[in-house]
Amino acid sequence: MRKTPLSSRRGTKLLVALLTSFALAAAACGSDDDSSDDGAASAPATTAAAAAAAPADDNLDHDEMMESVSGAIDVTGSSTVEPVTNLLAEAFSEQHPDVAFSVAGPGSGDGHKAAAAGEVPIWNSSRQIKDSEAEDINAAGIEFIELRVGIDGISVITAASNDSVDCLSFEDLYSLVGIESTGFDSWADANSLNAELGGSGPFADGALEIFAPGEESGTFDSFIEIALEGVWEHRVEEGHADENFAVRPDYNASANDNVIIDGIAGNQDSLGWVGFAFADENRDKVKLVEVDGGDGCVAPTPETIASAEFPIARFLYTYIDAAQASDPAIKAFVDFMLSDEGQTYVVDAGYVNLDPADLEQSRSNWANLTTGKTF
Amino acid sequence: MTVLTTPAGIATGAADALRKRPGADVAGSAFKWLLIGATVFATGFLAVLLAVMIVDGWDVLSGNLWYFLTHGFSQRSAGEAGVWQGILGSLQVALVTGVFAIPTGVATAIYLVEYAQGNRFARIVELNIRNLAGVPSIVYGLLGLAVFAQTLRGFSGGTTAIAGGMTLAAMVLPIVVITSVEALKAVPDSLREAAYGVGATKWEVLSRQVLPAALSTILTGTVLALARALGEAAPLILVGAATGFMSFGDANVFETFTGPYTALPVLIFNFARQPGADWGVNAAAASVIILVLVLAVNGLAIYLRNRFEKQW
Repeated sequence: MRKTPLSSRRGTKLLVALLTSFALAAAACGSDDDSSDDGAASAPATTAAAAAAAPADDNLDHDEMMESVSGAIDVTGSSTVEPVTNLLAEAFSEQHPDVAFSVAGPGSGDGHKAAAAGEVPIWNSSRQIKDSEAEDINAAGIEFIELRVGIDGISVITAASNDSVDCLSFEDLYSLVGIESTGFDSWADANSLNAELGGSGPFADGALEIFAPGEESGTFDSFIEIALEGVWEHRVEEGHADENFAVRPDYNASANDNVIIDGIAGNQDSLGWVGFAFADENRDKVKLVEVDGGDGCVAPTPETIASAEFPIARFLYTYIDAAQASDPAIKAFVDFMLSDEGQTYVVDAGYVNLDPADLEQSRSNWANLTTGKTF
Repeated sequence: MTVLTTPAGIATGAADALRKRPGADVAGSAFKWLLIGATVFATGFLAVLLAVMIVDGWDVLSGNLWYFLTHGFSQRSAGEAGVWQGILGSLQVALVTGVFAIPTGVATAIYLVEYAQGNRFARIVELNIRNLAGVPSIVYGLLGLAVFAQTLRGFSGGTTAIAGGMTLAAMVLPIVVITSVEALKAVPDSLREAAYGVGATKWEVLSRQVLPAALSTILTGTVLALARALGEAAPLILVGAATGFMSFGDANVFETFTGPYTALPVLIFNFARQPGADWGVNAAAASVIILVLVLAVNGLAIYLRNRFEKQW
């Protein structure tokens, strides 16, 4: 009978020790962070934050903008734009170590939803906001400022070793991955549809394996809108195609671009599409097919994407809650994003800079706090 | 007392008799080898997985481990990215999970076994809890986003380590309750009756006899539940864990619980979707680190079990 109370006390002690060790571990890691941050910090935080908060108008001169601010910046939305925001946040943190950052990339649609729930001041999108999404956000009493931040080309890809395809037109793409191609499991299956559409076929035969992003992805939406929709709408009018779906449902969909790349690389006659940055990074595994949007075959390069010669390109957007635009940390961060230095990170992330007119439009939207869809 | 008067003795005798005629128990030997095969397959699978991760992550694990453990996420290059925010975040989330799940779960179990004692209400509750243990973790993520991050924003601070920890607490609560219920049911009634027999009150019976006796199993179960929470990514991504760049700004240790957070599995998810093979090395190395963390927690569970185990 003496043994049980003893072990009960031991148990209590052990639980306390366990919880304490958790707390200590957290404290140790936390102080590590503080010290490294202090090392990188140049100016004391609180006074600088007060200084930056006072002149919240547009007359901030350059010196004041460079002063350290504090606050919290949460960014969510498109996983495509996330690397740009990561690079910007990283560089911004070095000048403003007291700003707490949280960058996430669940998807463009999720970003607009989080904005409608009032959860984030800044959210990214790899396509322009839909009218329904804008209405939801406005219905929550939130006005947004729309900025274009860069351009992403969508690359049509096949295995690096596939020599039988070099260039595909929009008609070719529709006959291979459009809704009417449902069930085609070899390239030759698409030949009669391709001929009917006036495509560049016939294709050399081979097993048609398609790997592409799933429908939660902005890349999926943009590809349909730019490459397939023209032909598809025409076919719907003629009564050949389903009016609800533009893409065949029987392909390998993945949210992870690396899975798409591996699938494309592992199948000789594969076909798919991913963001240009991903395809460009994996040129040893996949071949970037030229695309003919009606004006001849164009290979995707940063130059052809920026000049809009390459037909499948989309703008990348960042949206800001107008009510929080005067927050010193958010103001400083968006100023940095639209600065010439900030725009270099768009290229570092593998995307293409806007042409000067679009960048100017973004800057003036931000300077004048213009709300609503402006592009 | 002769050998053949107890059931155990009879069984031993029968086994001896079989052993004297090799080849007589064909089905028995076949079954044994089937079991051995299944065991080898299961552990072999684990060994291959571990080996692949260590090989894939070797560049980081061998040359760059300290940097990797002590630096935060960086988008600039795979070599500049580290996981310390993930390790800290995972520990924070596990701490919050433990604080909410263990007392609630153990208390529920004590009520169900010692007070409700198999009445209709207790049976319905227990059945529901067992079903809840099978709900996919992503569903708890949706619950956590709606309840802990949005409705209880005033308490949790929005999408923070507290909201994430409470989400995982809801997820592991059924496991804690079930293991605790089993632990309490395993305490022989003779122990309770003996204590009542010498005049102990219900509180004395519970606090002095039943709980200490069940402690080792309860601790093992709860620590294993925490280990499961450590490995979860999907619910945390829904509850706003940062997949990308993250910093605490000028927050102190306590404020980090109500600021941005991330966790090791979330970082692995992010590493795995970055372009380029060197990010894959990071993902593998981070996977090895989380395995080490989970194994350490499981080791703690084994230690606790051995330390407090009671023989009847």
